[in-house]
Amino acid sequence: MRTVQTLGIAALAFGALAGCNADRLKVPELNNPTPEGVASDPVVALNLAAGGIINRDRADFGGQILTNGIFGREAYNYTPTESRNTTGYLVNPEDPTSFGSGNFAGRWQTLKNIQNFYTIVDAATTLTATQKQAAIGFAKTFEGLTFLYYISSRHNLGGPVEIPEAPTDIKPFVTRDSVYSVALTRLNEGVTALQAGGTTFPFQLTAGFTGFNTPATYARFNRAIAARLLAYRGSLSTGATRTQFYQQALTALAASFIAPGGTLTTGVFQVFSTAAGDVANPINTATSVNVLGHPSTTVDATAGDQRLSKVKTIAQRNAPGTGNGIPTTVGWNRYADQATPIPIIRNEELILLRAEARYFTGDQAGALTDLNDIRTRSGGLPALSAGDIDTETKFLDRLLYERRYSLLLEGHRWIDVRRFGRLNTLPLDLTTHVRALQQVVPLAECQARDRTGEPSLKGTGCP
Amino acid sequence: MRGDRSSANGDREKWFVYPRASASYLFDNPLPRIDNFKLRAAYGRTGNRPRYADRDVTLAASNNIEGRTTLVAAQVVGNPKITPETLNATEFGFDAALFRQRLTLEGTVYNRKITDQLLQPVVANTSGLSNLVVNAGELSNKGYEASIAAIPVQTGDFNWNTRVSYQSNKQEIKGLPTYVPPFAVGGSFGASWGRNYIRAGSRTTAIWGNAPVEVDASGKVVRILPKGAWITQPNVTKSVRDTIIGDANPDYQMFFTNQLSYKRLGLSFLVDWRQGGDVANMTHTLFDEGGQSRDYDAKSPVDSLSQGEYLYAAWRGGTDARMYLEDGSFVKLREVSLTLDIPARYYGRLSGKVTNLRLQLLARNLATWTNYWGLDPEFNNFGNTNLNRFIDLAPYPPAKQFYFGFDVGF
Repeated sequence: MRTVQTLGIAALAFGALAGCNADRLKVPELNNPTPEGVASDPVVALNLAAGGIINRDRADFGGQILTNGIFGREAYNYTPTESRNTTGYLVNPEDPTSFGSGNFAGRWQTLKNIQNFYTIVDAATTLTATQKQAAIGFAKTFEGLTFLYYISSRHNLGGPVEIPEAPTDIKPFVTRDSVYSVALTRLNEGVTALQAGGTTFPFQLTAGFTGFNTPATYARFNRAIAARLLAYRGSLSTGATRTQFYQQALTALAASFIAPGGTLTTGVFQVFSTAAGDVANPINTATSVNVLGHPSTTVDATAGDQRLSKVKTIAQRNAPGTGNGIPTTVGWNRYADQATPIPIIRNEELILLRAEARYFTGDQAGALTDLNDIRTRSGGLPALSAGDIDTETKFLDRLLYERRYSLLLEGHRWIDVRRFGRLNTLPLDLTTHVRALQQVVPLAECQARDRTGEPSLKGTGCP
Repeated sequence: MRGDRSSANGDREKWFVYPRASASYLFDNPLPRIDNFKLRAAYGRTGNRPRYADRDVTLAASNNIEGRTTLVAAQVVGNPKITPETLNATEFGFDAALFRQRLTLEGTVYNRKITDQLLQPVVANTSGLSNLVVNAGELSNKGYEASIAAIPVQTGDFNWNTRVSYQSNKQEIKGLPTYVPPFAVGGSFGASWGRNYIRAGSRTTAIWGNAPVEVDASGKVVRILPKGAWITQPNVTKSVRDTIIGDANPDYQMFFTNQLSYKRLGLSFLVDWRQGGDVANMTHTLFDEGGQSRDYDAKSPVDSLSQGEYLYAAWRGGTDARMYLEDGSFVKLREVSLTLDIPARYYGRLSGKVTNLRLQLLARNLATWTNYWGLDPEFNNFGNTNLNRFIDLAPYPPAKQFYFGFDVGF
């Protein structure tokens, strides 16, 4: 009897509470931006979202440069209390839980941000069709660049080429060449959109895009990335296909901001800052004291090469024979402080890309001119003669040397030796060290794919 | 009986009801020498609300760039259907007192089950997002606790009270939907030293970490290789797999409490015994890496290497986490206290004002008996967490503490 009464009172109390508090529980999301907020002011939202794409790309950029530097034996990160900063790349890069499996999730987050960006552009009734094209061209270029970064790290493993609408809907892996194709398609779509994009972007880019912040000039940046992609594909192909890719690379270069004899540092950069809420350059000399130069950097350089000013001599770090230490006296000048920008692509690389593309399309004289442009102006070294590049091996020796020192700690050497089949030229410092061909797919990704039970969704190379 | 609504729930109009009930029955003198016997049972349900924003977050602000804030996709995606998680706890037990309260027994069996757990499982990175917020699966904690308390000696001058308690617990996850892959919870150092996983059908205290496996030409795993195989089996084709390498949960724990008194002198001490429960000893890794371990030069299974060289080389950058996973069993003399009641005749000028005066000498962490390499197998780098509670990373040694005190009653 008592129980029934209690329940009755409780039911009344509930009713009374429900009656008076109904509206107080409609608490909006106050900590984060909402889709409703974005829809109410698409122009502001677009500006923030463009910043979001650049910012998300930047979040992984320094780490990727360092990772490529470690794999390419340009740099290494010796942290006395975290040995995996060294071993994860040099000892067990095949371990899908090692640090060497990094630079994965962030790239897909950039692509997700780009997907959201397209949605905002689509819904923005206050933008003109021209402005929308400019916005799409901006994002497509970053999409192509992001796929290029991704496939440069995962190489033969390939990867998915689309971002699912629902996060639980997993897309299959496709081959390396298919990822390259998709990356190129996005870059080409980007240029088409930029050409229809009028004279200004409906949002602001960073200072790193100075000189490339209108649809027309930004398109030259787009073509520079396309030239890099096509040269990569050329070097990974043979015969007529190779020549074809290098021909296309030359076309892309002609539409890029290449300036033979011009300022080598002209280009597009990711900028960093120590301002509150901003991001500092993660591999700068001033604060990243554990990022050291590989000892071979000074040993392998030609005497008098001015580009060695990018490194400096430091007191020896890591006694030989203990722990994971690679003894070195090489420190960095490349990125002096926390606000030093890191180049995405710049003129010096474009001239070297043209040397490469010219050589592999039969223009040896042109290749020599471009190589010497860099060698004399950047390296301060005597010019080469035609005899120095009269075989493919000799040319590659010269090209890879110039690329190594011109683009030191800009993320290139590992990719370069790999695409020309010269991975085994990288030194092994300890008996436990190995040369990574590519970064593996992280375990978390593999497990998410396994859980679907669908063999076609399995990640390539997953355990 | 309690009902809740919350703005944090997906459905803000819905009431969630949490009943509680308990009952007991006492048998007075049911048998000769048994003073009383009590049976008890309890049931209760409680809820744990979703966090604010769990229901609707999709976008987030990110780092500034040149002083402007930026808009990115939120890495944890909100779920408009989110509900509270529910804890259902059932408990049965008995209390008995025998021989005029000289011996008391207690026993409890419990089953605590959390349903519709609030989880943030990871999604495939290639979706461009990190985590979902879902209600999924159930977490059950089953275990028992028992204790015996006795007064073996009770004379005019000398008394001895003793109490022994025992506990054991098993935790398991069930019923996770297929879109929830196994995921490691935050606050660990990854597969190099092992971590706990939320994984269907697995105990949450199981330690998953890297171990070398033998693979055939097609890359298929033939077997898990024994500890140290990176060094001891150089001719086997090996790969790395993430597998169960231990369990952080002790097999059981026992606590012994004793109080002795002789006239005005009292002595009490508390001894803890933990059997089992593995500890990932990162401290040992760091010492071996620097060649500084106290037993670095001891003999190892490989003639050409010292123990430190062998352990560190076989750990191989974290690809055999078992090398530094150690048994954390211990017996600890946790607390000893000695008291003396000062007789009233020594109160001197204070007599009449002071009703009692007692001196106390107390010591903590006096001694630990363990085979564990480090300073304290109970230390955890991430503090008092539910999971990943087995990581020893260069802790301060547990301080031996001594207190001298006096109680004065007026």
